[in-house]
Amino acid sequence: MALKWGFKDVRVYLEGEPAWKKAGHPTESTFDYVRTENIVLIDLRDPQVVEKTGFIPKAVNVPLAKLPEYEDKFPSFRRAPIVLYSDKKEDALKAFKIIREWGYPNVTILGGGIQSWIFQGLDLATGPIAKEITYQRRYQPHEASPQEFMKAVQEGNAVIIDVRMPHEYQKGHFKGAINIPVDDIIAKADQIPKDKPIYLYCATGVRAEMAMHNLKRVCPTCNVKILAAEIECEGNNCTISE
Amino acid sequence: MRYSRGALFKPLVVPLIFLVLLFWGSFSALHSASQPAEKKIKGQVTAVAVTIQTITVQQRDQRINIKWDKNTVFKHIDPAKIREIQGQEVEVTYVEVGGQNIAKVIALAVVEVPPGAKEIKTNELAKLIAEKPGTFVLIDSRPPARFRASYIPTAINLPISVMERLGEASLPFPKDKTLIFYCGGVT
Repeated sequence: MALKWGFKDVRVYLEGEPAWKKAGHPTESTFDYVRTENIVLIDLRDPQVVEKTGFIPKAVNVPLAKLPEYEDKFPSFRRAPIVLYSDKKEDALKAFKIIREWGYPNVTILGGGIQSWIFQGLDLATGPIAKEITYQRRYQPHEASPQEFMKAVQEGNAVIIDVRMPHEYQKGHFKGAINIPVDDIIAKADQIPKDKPIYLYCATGVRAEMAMHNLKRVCPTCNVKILAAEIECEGNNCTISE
Repeated sequence: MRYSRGALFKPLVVPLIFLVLLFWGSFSALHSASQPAEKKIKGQVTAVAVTIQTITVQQRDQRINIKWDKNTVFKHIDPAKIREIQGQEVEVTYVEVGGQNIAKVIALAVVEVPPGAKEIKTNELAKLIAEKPGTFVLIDSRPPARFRASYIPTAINLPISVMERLGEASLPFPKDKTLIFYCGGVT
């Protein structure tokens, strides 16, 4: 289109945003995103500066110098969106590299830093700033939190289905779970009690979601949820990590 | 009583030929009846499960699972790196067999650089952003929901839908300005 309109130098970055991130380059988030989304917002400045100037609402203060000590205080959910800001761009970039290396793929930098936020006339908070990172992952309606899932396993009133392969199931599975591999779920759908909530799980949540689509095709009214997390089982002893 | 060779041959062979023809005919009829119609879906890959050789493809708000097997043809995809098609646009030709969708062809949607435009690689773009900010306009063509969460530094958001609606007015820049477009991957 741009060429048709007479632009003489048009280039296309075919690989796009995913390749940019994959190459280790930082990306930025908008003010609107920071204001309205469920994110971890980190103010990297020194506490004295934060106290003097105020901070962006919901920010947690993790001074860059202390960042290495904070590794285990970051969310256990690795795909949590984390946005960083500072008054020095280099500081935000340094923190970005460290946090990416810890295995958080969705860490970004606030575009323009706190200066732009202030120049835009956006709200600042004053008073004591939070020091602890608290992140509550929001679940989709078809996703069960690990707490809800474990409650269902322990109470025994729900149907728990392990949709992995039989050899994975035999190695270890949640107590009371039955094994119906994804590919058999349609054929065996009539064996699943329909009057109880149904919970599906696999090793990572990927196959559970696929099984859910298949089950919903033959049983649209079934009350199905999935455990969208990674599991590791030895016998009936399973651990869930998000 | 002695049968001649021909006398023995005839009563055996005639029904045999008849049987073979009957069998072959019914088999090919059955075969063509069981050959299911090919369907096509174009959409984004939302999940890849290598253990069960299945991908989930989303088209608008509908998601379907499609399996691949040894006969599936992959286009622009390295089967050894199939996990990398997650999030990408594909076109899948598939058949439904016994309640399961089996892919005949999985093709990654590839948009080529239109004639007259040049491709820019990650390193060149990184260099431009770091060293010559302001000499170009970087345009993110993705929908706002994707842009706001994560955009390449210095980019502005101009979704394709907006560009189509506003026409030439959507690019209020001098015609000799360098424009660099990007979106969400090799699509």
